[in-house]
Amino acid sequence: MDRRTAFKKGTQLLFGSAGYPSVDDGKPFTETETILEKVNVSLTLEPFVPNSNMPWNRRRVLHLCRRMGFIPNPSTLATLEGMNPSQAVDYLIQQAQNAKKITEPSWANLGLPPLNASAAEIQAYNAQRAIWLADLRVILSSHLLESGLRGKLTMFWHNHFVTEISDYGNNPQYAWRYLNTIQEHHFSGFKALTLAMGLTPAMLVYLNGNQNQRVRPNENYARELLELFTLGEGNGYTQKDIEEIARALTGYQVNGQDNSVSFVQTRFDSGSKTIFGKTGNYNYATAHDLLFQERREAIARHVCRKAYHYFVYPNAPEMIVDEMASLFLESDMNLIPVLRALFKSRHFFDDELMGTMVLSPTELMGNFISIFSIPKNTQLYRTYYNLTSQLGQILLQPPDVSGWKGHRSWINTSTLPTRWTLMEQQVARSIVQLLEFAKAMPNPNKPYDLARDIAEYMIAVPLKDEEYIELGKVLLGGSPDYEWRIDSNGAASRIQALVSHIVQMPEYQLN
Amino acid sequence: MCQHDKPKPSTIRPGEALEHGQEHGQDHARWSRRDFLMTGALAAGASFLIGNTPVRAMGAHPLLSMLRSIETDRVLVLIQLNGGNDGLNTVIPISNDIYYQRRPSIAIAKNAAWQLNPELGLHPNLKVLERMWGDGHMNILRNVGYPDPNLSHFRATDIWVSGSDANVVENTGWLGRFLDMEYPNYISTPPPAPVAVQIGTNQSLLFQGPSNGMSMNISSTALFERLASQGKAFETEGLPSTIWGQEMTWLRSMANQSYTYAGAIQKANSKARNEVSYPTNNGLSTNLSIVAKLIKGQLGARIYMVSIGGFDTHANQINVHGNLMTQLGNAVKSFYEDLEKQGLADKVTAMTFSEFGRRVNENGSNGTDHGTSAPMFVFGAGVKGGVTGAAPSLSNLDANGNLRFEIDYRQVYATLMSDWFGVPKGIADDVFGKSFSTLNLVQQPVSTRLGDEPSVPDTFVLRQNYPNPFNPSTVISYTLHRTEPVLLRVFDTNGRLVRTLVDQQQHAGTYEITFDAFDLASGVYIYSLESSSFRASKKMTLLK
Repeated sequence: MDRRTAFKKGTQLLFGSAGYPSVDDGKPFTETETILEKVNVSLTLEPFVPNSNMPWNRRRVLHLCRRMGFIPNPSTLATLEGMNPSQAVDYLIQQAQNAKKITEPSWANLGLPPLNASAAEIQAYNAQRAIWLADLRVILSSHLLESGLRGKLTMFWHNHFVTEISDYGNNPQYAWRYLNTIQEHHFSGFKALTLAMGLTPAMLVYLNGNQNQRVRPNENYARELLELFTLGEGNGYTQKDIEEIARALTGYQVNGQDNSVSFVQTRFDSGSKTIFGKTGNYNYATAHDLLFQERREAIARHVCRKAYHYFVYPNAPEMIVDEMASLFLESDMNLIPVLRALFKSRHFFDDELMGTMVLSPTELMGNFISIFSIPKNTQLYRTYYNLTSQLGQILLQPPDVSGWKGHRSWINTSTLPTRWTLMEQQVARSIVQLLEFAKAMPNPNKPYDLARDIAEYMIAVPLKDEEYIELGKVLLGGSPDYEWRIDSNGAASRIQALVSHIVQMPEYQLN
Repeated sequence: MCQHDKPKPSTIRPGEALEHGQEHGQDHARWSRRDFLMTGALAAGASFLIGNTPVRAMGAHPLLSMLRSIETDRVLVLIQLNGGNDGLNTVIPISNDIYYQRRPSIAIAKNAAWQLNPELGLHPNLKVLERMWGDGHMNILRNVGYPDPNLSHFRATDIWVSGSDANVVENTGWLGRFLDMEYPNYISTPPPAPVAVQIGTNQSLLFQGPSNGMSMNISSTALFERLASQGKAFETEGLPSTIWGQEMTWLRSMANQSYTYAGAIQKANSKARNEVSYPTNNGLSTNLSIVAKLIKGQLGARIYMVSIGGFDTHANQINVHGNLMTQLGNAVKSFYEDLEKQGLADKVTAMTFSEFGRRVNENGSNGTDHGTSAPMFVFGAGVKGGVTGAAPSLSNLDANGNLRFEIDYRQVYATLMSDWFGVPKGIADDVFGKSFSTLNLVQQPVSTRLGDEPSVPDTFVLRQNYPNPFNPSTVISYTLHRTEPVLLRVFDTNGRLVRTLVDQQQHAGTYEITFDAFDLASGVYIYSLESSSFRASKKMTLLK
């Protein structure tokens, strides 16, 4: 067997057959022989027990935080460093459970203007809608920035049950219901979420459930329900199943005046349907029952694989997916116990998997805001929305129904310099916070230690010693090291120079 | 107080952005006239080549001439002496007894000094600059400082590079603010060449603008070598055989492709070589040799900064300081000899500065402690040689036993801005938040910009392409009002030519040219229309 074949086999072993999901200018993932060398990554969810080879150190705590939310500020980090890995995972999940839910805006239940509205009324509505949309973005940004794993989960489900706000008329009330449906199900089962999601105004409009009726069935939603939301493409269904499920889902209509969704009997196809080989007079609820009963393993594997891609690395080892799927089924399709086990596993904490994911724009900016405790206020939330938009991640507006591709697709020769520029700008605006952060490092008066500590905090994988020394020199800016004092007036601009340098290192892009 | 946060529409010339195609053509025409005037003025001087430089630069980077707004062919090099250079042992008051009384162990004897006149000597190791001094290519500014001096290295460095008063904490550099005004579209429409280059890990606040850094930082000679030889900024070989290593290799290759000025550096480097041998074991000299190459290779950057550390001579300073003076003298000498080989010595002014000078009294360890004002050197054939300012008084000291300054350091900056670069005085005042009088340092001050020249008639139109963004083809339309040779070309944002669409004589009329980008990657491209009478460009976005 030549090395190339051996490699492929090794890859297979480690990462299964699910192709590399991210895109890079349409070119396939370039395989190298590197993965073969490290097939000794644990491929079970056995718990991580720290030892001298795999110590529970700052790097691993940060890895956990990076993947469960954002890089924490020094005080949160200290709290977590005082726990063991299992406690830390439980703590972060508990924090998410305790986190405040998205607040319901005052306009949540206002509706579209009446059908016979005058031009002036419509104009007034449009003006209002712009304000509501801005408000909604603030609400969503604050949710993402303030609720840890809960926000991270919101982005996961937002990118799973994709809707594009422009496709449902930029309707803030619909968008609010969509987000609220996600957050209501963060800690409950996937089936309940699926059932609820299909009947949100946003989804009904986006995937044409709203037009799906007995005389003119529209199979758009049924297709994506199977292909994207539950089973995965081509995985255990036929075109006939799609058509029949579409018939079962008929009858629902959105009323924009009060944002309600109602079942209209005359639009429902009450004939018998044959789905997955079973025949009956299926409706919305019973068709879902059938799907979740007949295809439960496939659903579990599909959802768990996506979760792995989102939280760990975009190419999931099938052995891990198997184990995640079992846990998922044991817990009534609740993802939380699965994630709990995943985050506590030796596999998750393996060196091999640290610093391997390209930061999404929301993570890139969220990390920065979190590390340096940038004061959170409405202006910051607006900035967050604007900056992540500039970097290609417009909240509520994924590019298509399959969502943001993630990982390498975030980076190209246009977005990377934009990341550098925007980060540099944020650094320049945050000098006070940067200095406070530096003061919280263990040895703020030792410039080379300080540069190393800041770099280790911000960059997922250790640099070489000489690179840390270079960073020390960047910090000192040519001045003598023995005169460095964090309390001196000139320290702030040096910290700025250092952080500005770090955020523009390619290493900083990896989480 | 400075008012950098306020918009300054008056300083942003309307034709500067690439987006303003039509205005831009007029703008360019105005500058062309100016270039002509400059060329005429210089033709009488020593260097004919210089008059050609802008033309050549255009040849290399057709967009450059549209983007620049400060003099195209004058360069400023800042040499930072980190640590606080001992001014009194650099520019020595050889006839002042107090100097010898206060520094019994470390004073430089009158007969050891390089004596320029009976009362002024320079450190003997600077004597390698004798020819420059004799040719009048060196000005010594004495006793430069500012009120209420700060003695912390970090804070004092900030003051010097930010150009602020001692009691104002300014988070931007004076050149950063200046360049931000000059290149308001630096980020959205980066010029094809960097406007400022810093060499060394010392990434100074100097070039920090209100929101962005305005310089390209070449943090190490290794990075320069990579840029120069391979056109890439990051090493993509030798990363570990891990998933991280694999992701990192990919990211670095993306970063290399994104590194805006890698190509420009590589190109400039390939066009030039050092024509003298620079001293080895001298970091300053290595960095200045790079600067010389980039200038000679017509990179197009207007400002360079290099630095040399080790001036914090608290102990046994005779040898340490002596070595630093040797390094400084040799590096500057080689640098100018190298530039002279291409007749560029009068186009490049170099200026030294340090965060402070040192105490008049020596300390107990044969060294000196932090002081205040100090001399600066300004070098170059475009400089008026001589001495500016009086020797500092060694008897009228401040409460800490330090010198009282005479020349405010911002007078030097303001002079270089207005007389060297031809920037209107108002801009310099804006940069410093107050007005400083200028000094007599520059041989041929550039008359400040011609603001109200009649603009050329509207002779052409270059329209925005349609559709835009596009995939994969789009139509570019333009109108000519007379018959002339026309060049329509497409560049990427690094200034690299990707396609020549039209290169022929054309009659008056409106033309529509289809640009098919089937073979190009997504991104922003710039299309540029040039003829003998006009020049305009616009951006377009290819989205695949």
